Amino acid sequence: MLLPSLSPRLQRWWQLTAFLFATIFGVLSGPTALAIDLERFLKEIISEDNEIRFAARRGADQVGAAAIPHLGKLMTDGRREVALTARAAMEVIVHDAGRSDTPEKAKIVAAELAKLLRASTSLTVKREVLHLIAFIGTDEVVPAVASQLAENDRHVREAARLTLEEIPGDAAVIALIDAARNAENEHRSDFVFSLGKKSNSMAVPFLVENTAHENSPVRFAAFQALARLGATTAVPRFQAAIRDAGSPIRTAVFNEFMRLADQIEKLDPDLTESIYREVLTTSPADYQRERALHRLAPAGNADNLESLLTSLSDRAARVRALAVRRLSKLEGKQVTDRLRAAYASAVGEKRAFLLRAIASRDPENAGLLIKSASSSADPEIKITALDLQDQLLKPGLESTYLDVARTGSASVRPTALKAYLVLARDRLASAKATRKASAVMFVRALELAADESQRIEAILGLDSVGETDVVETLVPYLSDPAVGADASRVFVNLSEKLVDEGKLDVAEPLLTRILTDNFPHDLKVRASDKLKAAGRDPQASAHAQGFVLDWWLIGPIHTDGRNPFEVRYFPEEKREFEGIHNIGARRYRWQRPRLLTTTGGINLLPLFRRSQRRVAYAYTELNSTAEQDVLFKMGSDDGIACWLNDTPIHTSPGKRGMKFDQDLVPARLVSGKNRVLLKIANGGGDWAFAFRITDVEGIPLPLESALD
Amino acid sequence: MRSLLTRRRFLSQSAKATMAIAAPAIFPRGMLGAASPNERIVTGHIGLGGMGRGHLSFFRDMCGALCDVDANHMQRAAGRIGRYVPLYKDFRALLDQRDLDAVIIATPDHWHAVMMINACEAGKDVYCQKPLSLTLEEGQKMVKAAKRCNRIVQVGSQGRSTPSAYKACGYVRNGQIGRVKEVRCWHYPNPVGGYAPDEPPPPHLDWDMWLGPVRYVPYNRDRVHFNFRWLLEFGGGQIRDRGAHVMSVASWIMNADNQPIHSIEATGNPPKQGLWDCPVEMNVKFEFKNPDWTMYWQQPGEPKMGAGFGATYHGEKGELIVTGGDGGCGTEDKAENYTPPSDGVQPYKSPGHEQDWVNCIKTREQPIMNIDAGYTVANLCILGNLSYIVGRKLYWDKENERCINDPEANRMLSRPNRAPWRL
Repeated sequence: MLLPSLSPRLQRWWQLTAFLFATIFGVLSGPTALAIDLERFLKEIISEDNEIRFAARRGADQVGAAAIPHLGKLMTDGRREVALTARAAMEVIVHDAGRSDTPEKAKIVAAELAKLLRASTSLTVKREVLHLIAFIGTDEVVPAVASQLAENDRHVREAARLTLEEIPGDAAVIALIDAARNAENEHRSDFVFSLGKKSNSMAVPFLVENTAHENSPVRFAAFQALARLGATTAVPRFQAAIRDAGSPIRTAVFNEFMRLADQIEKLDPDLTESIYREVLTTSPADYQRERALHRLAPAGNADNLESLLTSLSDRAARVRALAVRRLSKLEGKQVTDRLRAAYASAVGEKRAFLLRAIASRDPENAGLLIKSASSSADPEIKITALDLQDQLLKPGLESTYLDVARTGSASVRPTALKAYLVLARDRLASAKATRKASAVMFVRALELAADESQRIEAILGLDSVGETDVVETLVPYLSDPAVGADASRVFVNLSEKLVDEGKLDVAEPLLTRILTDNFPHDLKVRASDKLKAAGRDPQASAHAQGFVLDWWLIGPIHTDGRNPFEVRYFPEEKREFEGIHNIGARRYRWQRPRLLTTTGGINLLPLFRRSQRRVAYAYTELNSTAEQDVLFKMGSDDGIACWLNDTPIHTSPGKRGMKFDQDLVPARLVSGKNRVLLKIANGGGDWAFAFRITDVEGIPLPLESALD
Repeated sequence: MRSLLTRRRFLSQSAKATMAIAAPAIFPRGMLGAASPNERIVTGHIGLGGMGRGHLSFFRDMCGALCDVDANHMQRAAGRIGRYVPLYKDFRALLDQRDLDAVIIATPDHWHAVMMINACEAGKDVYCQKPLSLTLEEGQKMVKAAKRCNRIVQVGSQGRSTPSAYKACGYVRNGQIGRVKEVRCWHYPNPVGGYAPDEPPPPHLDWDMWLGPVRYVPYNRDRVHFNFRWLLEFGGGQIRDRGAHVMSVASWIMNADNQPIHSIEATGNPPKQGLWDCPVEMNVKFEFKNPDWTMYWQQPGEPKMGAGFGATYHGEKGELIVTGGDGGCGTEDKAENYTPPSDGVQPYKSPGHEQDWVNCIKTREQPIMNIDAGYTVANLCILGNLSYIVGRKLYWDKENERCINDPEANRMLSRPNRAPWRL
C-alpha cells in the first residue's frame, strides 16, 4: 500500500488530513496520493472479482468522503453486484465517520451525501442517501434534506421526513414545522406527529394550535405528539377532546391522555393521578377504565380504596374483576371496616361481593351478618349467605336457584348454579326423580354453567344418568379444551349405549365424528372397535381405495436447519424396530400406531407433536400376488421421498399442503413381499401424508400388509 | 363450530376475571362473571406464515380471528381452522373485534412493536414472536405498554418451556458445574444469497402493508416472508432469529434476565455478493458485570452433540452443553437425570410455552418468557448486530440505556416509522 509503515489508524489520520488539505486548498485535481488511492478503490469496487470488490468495500473508510460522489453514481450501475457493493461501501464510510472522536469527519461525509440530493440523482439513490444521512446528519444538512420534502416521489418525501425525525437540533424541528404548515392535511398529520418524536419543546405551541385543526387526523397527531413530549400545558385541550362525545377521535385521545399521564408521572404525580381518575370515570371503553384502575390502585396499595370499591359496580366485568383482585390483596382492619361500611349501603351484586369479602377477612365477627343475610328477601344475598353457611341443600328453593342462575347478576349466577347442581345430585342419589328429570336438570346446568368445574359436574351427571337421548347436547363441548376430554368420554359412553340399544343408525355418525375429528386416540379406538363389532368398518372405504394404513413410524427428527432431502438419517440405512436410536442427544423409537384414519390421510402432528423443521419416516411391507406395474399415489405436507425395496424412486422436496394423489409414481412390485419406505419432511405447521396404490389404469389395489 | 362462538358470546356477557386464583378461596369460581381460571380464551392471530400457522395447532379451538397481508397465507390458515372466523388484512380491524381476549403476533420482526403496543392499548394480552423488537427503543415502549396496560405478554422464545432446558437450568443454578464464567453459543453461519431482481409484488400480497413501518424498499422475493431473516434491516440474521432462542435459554439458566450488559464487541464477515447483508460468520462478546461472566455468540463456533446450534456453559467445576434453544432443546444425561434437592433452586416449570401464556392470562401471573425477559434477550441480539454494523465495541450505560460516548450508535437504537405507523 501507499503508506506501508504506518498503522491503519495513522493511515486514516493521514488520509483525512490530506483530504482536508486538498479540499481547503482546492488542489484535488492534481495527481495527489489520495486521488490515486481513490482511482484504485473505484476500479476495485467495479471489479468482476468478488474478492477484490469485497476487499475494496471493507476498506472504503480508508478513502472516505471523497468516494461518495462516485459511489452515488455506481449505486445505479447496471451490474447488480457493483451497485450493491457501492451501497455497502457508502455505509462503511458513514459508520466510520460516525465514531465519536471524528465529529468533523461526520460533517464532511454528511455534506458529501447531501450533495447527492440534487434533482438529477435517481430516486433510489436519494432514498438510500437520506437513510444514511439519518445516522450522522446535523443542522448543516437540514436544508438539503428538507428540500426533498418537495420531491414528487412519495417515497423520497417520506424518507426525508424520517431523516428529519432523526437529525437532532433545532433546525430539523423548524423544518418539520414549516413542512407541516405547508402540507396538505393528508401529510400534515405525519409532520405533526414527527414533532412529538423530537424531544424538543419548541414545537409545543404549534402542536397545541393543531389540536383545534379542522382535520381530525391532524388533531389526533397533535395529541399524540403532545403526549410524547409530556406537554402539561396541553391538558385542557385533552380534557376538551375527551369530553366531546361526538368526536371520531375521542377513544383514541383517551389513550394519548394516559400516555401523557405516564410521561409526566415522575414530574407531576398529582396531575398523573387526576388524569387517570378522569379516565376511570369518563372513558366509554372497558379496557381504558381497566388500565386507569390498574394505574390508580396498584397491587397492595390501599391509597385508592374508594376507586376499587366504586369499580365493583363498574358495568364491565374486566374492571370489576381487577377491583376484586386488587381488593383481595389488601390487608388490615381499616380495609375491613371500610368494606363493612360499604356493605351497609351497597346494592345488587356489589353487596354480595362485599358479604363474601367481609366473611373472608373477618370470619369470627361475620356470623351475625351472614345469618341475617340468609333470610334476606333479595335472592342473590340469600344464596350468597347460604353458600357461606354451606346450607345450599334447600329443595324448596329450586326455582329460585334456577331463576338466579339464568337471569341473576353475573357474579351470583355461578353460586346459584352451584346450588342447583347440589339439588340435582341429591335427586339423583336419592332416586326421587326419574332418569329423564335428572337429565333435564344436568342439561340445564350444562347450558348455564359459567365455569369448567360446573360444566364437568353437569357432564358427569349426564354420564351417571345414562340417558342416551341427551347425547347431542354434548356436541358443542367436544372440542372445548377445558371440558372436551370429559365430554368426549361421556359422548362415547352414550353412543356405545345407543349401539347396545340397537340404534346403530343414530350411533354411527356420532362415533364416526370421534374418528374424524381431533379426539384422544383411546376414544378413537373405542369408537372404531364398536363400529366394527356392529359390522360398520369405518376404514372400509379407505382400504377399498387402495390406501395403505399399516405403517411403522419414527420421528420427529430435527433437521437442524439442513435440507432434509440432502441428509441420510438412520432409517435409510437400517431399520431396527426394537430399542432406541440416537442422533446426538435426541432419542427416537419406532412405533406402529393403530392409524384410525377414515379418509386415508395420516396426520403426523398428533403422533409427533413437533413439526417445525422435522423429518419422519414411514415403513411398511406389502404382499403382491404377482410381479406387476402399479402407480404409487402420494400426497404430503410438506415434502416426501419414497423407496421401493430400498431403491429410491421418488422425491418431492417442496413445501406444500397435503392433497391426495399429488404425486403419481410408476413402480414395479415384485411377487411376494415389497418394502416401502417414505420420508416425510416438514418446515412447520401441518404435517401429514397419504399413500395409496392403484394399477396403471387407476383401479385401486388394496394390498395386504406383510408386517408381522 | 358455530355453537362455540355462540357459547362464547353467552359467556362474554359475564366476565373473564381471574379472582379465583388471586382472591381468597371463599370467593367461588365464576364470581363477578365467568371469572374462572379455566374459562376459554379467544385469540386473534396476526401473521399466518410458517410460525403463525404453526401456532394454530395449539390455538385452533380458541381462534376467533385471522389476519395476514398475504391472501395465500390467509387461505391456508383459514383452511386449517375449518370453521368460520373473521378474516382481516389490516390488524387494526382485528384489534377492534371486541370478543378477542388476546392476540398472537407472528409477523416479521419489523411489525412486532407497532402491533404489540396497539394490542396492549386495546386491552388484549399478547403472545409475540421472538425476537421481541427490532430496535432498543421499540423494546422500551413495548415494556411500558405491557406494564401500563396491565397485559400478559409472552415472547415466543419457547426453549425455556422445554423439559431439557428446565433440567439444565436446575442443574446449573444448583451449582453442579460451579460458578459459570463463560457461556459459548454456537450457530451455523448465515446464508449468502438474494440474487433475485426487484420486481412488482404478486397480486396476493399487499407489499405496502408487509413493509409497514419500515422505510420503503422495492419488492423482492428474496426480501419477503422467510427471507426477511437475512437482511439486517429486517430480520438481522441468525443472531436474532436463533440468538433469541439460544440466548434466551442462557439468560434464564444464568438468572440474568435483569442483569444489564456491560459491553458488546462484534466482528463479522459480510457476504461477498447478493442482497442479503447479514454477516456470514460472526463473533460477539457480551460482557456482564456483578456477577462477572461473559457470553460469546460464535457463528459457526464449535458444534456439540451433533446439533447445529446451542450453548456450552463453562463453570468452575465443569461444563454443560445445552443444544438447540427453540422447541428442540437437548442437554447431557447428567443434567437430564438430575433432580434438585428440596431446599435447592427450583426453576419455574412451564407447562408448555403456549399453555403457560394461556394459564397466565387467567391467573394474571407472569409467564416464563415475559416482557422483561423478552426485552433483555432482544437487546442482546440488537446490540450484537449494532456493534457489528458500526464496527466498534460498545459500552453500555445501564442507567440511561444508551451507548457510552457513541452518538451514532445511539441514534441507531431507534428508527423512525414510515407513515401511518406510529410509536
